Amino acid sequence: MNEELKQARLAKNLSQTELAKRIGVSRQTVNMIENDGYNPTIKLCIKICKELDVTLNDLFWKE
Amino acid sequence: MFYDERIEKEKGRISRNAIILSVIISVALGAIRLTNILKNTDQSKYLCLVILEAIIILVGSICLLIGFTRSKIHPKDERTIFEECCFYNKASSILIKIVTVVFAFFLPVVLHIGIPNNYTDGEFDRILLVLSFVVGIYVVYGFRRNDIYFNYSIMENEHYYKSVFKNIGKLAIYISCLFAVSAISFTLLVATKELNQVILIKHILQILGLYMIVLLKFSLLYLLYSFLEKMSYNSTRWLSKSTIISLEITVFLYAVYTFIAMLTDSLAISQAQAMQTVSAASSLTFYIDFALLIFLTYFSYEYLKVKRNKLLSAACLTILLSKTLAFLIGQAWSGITSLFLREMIEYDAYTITYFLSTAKTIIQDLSSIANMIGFSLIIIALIKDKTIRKSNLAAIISFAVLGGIEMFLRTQTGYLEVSVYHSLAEIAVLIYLCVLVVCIERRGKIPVC
Repeated sequence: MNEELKQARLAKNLSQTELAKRIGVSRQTVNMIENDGYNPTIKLCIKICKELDVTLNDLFWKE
Repeated sequence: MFYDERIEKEKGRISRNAIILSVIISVALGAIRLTNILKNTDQSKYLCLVILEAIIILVGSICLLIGFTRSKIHPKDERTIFEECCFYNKASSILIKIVTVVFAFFLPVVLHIGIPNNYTDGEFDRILLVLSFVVGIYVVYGFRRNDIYFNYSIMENEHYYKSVFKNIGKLAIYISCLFAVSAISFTLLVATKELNQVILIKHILQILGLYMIVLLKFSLLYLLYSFLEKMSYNSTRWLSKSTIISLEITVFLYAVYTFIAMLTDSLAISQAQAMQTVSAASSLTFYIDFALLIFLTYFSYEYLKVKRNKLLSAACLTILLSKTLAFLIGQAWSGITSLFLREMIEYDAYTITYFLSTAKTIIQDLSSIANMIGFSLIIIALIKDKTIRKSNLAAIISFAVLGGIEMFLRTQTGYLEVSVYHSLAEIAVLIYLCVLVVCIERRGKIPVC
């Protein structure tokens, strides 16, 4: 599970639906990314990071 | 702008598989039709009856060849795979547009030349009916399995149904354009003095009626499907109302069909009227099977999202494949029979007819057995799931009683299959599933596993 993404989203007080609307994808896609069910492209990763004010390292690059 | 890369990618994969499926089915049905035309008719003008299959094979093959070549030329990475999927999305859209325009153009021609003698291989647009069932079910299954909604781009809209009706408006405009294409075809026929103006008016009214029925059918189907999707999307329960409604529709259609068939058997009406009534009722079987397969797709998807159950997956897939194959063979059967028409006339009609009817009975029985296995596996899978106990007794009783009655009836001579087309045991399973979904629905929210 991508817990960092979920925490970053909650920190911004956004629901999955709201985040999905802002980055132009469906709620299911956001859900799947959070549950490691889908590997987003770098383009989508950057959009998510910009929306949540975090870096790629914070959300997607795991040690 | 709404553009979901995951959905585009999955849609692309589904589109590629749908094109492959369409080409394979068109090759099979087209080959049978072409053989019938060459063997049983004298004039080459009847070759236009196979134009739709030919176009699907040609355009579909070109799309697949281009897609395959692109995938071999470019190295496989995230970007190229995504572009390949986008290509197949566009390709499937182009294929549908070309096929419908060709259909619109050749429909007046086919109406004009008529159906030849010794030709019983189904209507000109049979391939469209077959593909709308087979590819339609595959697309519904593929979308559900990958958590994609057909109306995904408007799902979150405040005025969802307004957008749905806008899409219906676009469909109406497209069908009007197809009518315009048919009108051009008519004009060409009149200009070449092939058609006089009295017959022209008759054909135009026929085609106008056909397009209006097609628009009404597809609009209603799309509206109903949009309604089911919206309910499924907003649901937080284990089984959404969409699953329950699709089951209710299936059971309702079953009941209507059985009532019509039994009424036909019991009333003392003329044979011609009986045949007409049965024929009208038989067109219901398309919608019964379609509704049942939509229900199974939604049910297995929503159930399996919460609890892994390989037996349930296998069961639903068995029924899906068996019903689809049975539908395909049913549609192709008149064509297959026509292949032997000349041999029946010139040689031994009795032996060939006996052989063909035995083969048909064996195929129907195999299909029924496969369905029975599938439905039995569903019941076993759900009984093994100890979460739902109350419905198990209903399953065992209804399955035993109705299954037993069916076994007894099948041993009797004069048993009319048309009255119990979908078999009593299948009805028993549907009763069980109705009780089951009520139990699950009452449970409400998704259980903690």
